[in-house]
Amino acid sequence: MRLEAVAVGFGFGGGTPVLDGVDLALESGRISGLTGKSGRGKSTLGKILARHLLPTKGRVLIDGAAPVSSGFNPVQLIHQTAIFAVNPRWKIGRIVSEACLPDEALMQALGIRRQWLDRYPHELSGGELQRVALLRSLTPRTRFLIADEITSMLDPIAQSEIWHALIDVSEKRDIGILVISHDRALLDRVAAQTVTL
Amino acid sequence: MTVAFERPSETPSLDKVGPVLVATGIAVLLLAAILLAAWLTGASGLASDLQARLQPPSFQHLFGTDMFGRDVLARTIKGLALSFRIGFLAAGISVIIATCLAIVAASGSRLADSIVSLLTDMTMGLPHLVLLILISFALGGGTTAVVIAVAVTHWPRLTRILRAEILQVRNADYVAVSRNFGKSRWFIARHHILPHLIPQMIVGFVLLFPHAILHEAGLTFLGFGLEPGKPAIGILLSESMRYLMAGKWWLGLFPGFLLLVAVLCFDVIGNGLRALTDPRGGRS
Repeated sequence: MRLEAVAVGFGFGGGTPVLDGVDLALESGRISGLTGKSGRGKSTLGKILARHLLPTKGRVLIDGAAPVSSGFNPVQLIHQTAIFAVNPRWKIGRIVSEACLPDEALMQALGIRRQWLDRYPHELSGGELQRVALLRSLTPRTRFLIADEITSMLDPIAQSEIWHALIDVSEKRDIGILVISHDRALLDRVAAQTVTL
Repeated sequence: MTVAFERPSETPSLDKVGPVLVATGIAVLLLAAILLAAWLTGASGLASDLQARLQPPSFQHLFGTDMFGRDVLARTIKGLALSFRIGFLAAGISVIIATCLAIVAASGSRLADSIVSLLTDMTMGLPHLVLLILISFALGGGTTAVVIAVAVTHWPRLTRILRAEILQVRNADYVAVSRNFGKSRWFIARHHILPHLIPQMIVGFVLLFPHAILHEAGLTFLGFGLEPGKPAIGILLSESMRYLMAGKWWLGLFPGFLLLVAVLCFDVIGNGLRALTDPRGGRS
């Protein structure tokens, strides 16, 4: 499977475009990196790829065809701050099963404990919540994952655990991951190739 | 230099819940008194007894009697029952108006949002009491007029709160995630947006309720509300004004005090509910 951004452009409120004519391709089963200075539109591109935003110019294609605008999107986005990406009134058990029932093995690989399922998001730490957000997004139908600075706020041990689990999932499930980060050392370790925006 | 760290209280939640529980207890007692009014005060409580005119509080008449020898306690409870009924209806209609307008404003149409915002600003910009008097007067007074007047003047604040809440939740990352999972608009509205609105609506209703009661009493006191024959708190207070200078203090004190207690109780309950419905305070 191939995820492509073809001549994508985007501007907020008719101002100067954040993105203009950007091309990017992502293969399933491969981990690619995306870096660049702040304000270059890395996160915006990630949101466009995951259909959270619609491009003002260009197209996003999956296997050469425009994806359907409704229904399950095989491209999922993981945010930098997981607390904003979960409903504060839902317990973790409900959050992780929003798309489908979570995979037990994946739960263990991500280090998610059963007792977390009965807690509210504000009762977990940032690292724990990021694992929860990953588990929710890694459904059997997910083919691409846009990981936008997902470990930048975590301690090195948590970062290492999460990336080991993600690399493993990417290989086993043939999921393509776009790692958006400022951390060149991290990109050199996990990504097969890195694009600078 | 010595730096002292104070140990936080181990039961902070009880400090917050205490007044709410007390207020709830008093409100339940008042509601029970209203429901059991006939049994508590006797069926003859509202009947005139010219032999017992303007008697001060006694064991027979705990709140004293008025200028026609009617029991002030019986009339106060009857008045509160009427006020509660009007407050309940007016606050309920206000919440329905506020919810409908908030949904329209947050639906995505800029024109609809502008119209609702203009209506809100206009209603909030006009002096509250003047608007109430005008509407009640135009509708000819009476219970229905008071309910309509209070209902159509009390929605703006709640509309603003609900509109902001809908817009905030609709643009939240977790709603975008849910949309990406292929969830329908109905699912998002029911499971993500509505649970955020219901607590606001309940709190809005509970906070509007005492406000509506006060306005009903105020309107009636000024002569633009309920019919003079009805035992409303506003009428009781209005009638008491003529006798206060003559030292008949019980005619105004007890109805006024019970109205104040009822309003305060529901205000405290509303504020307590607002604190409790915050998910971050939910556990404590």
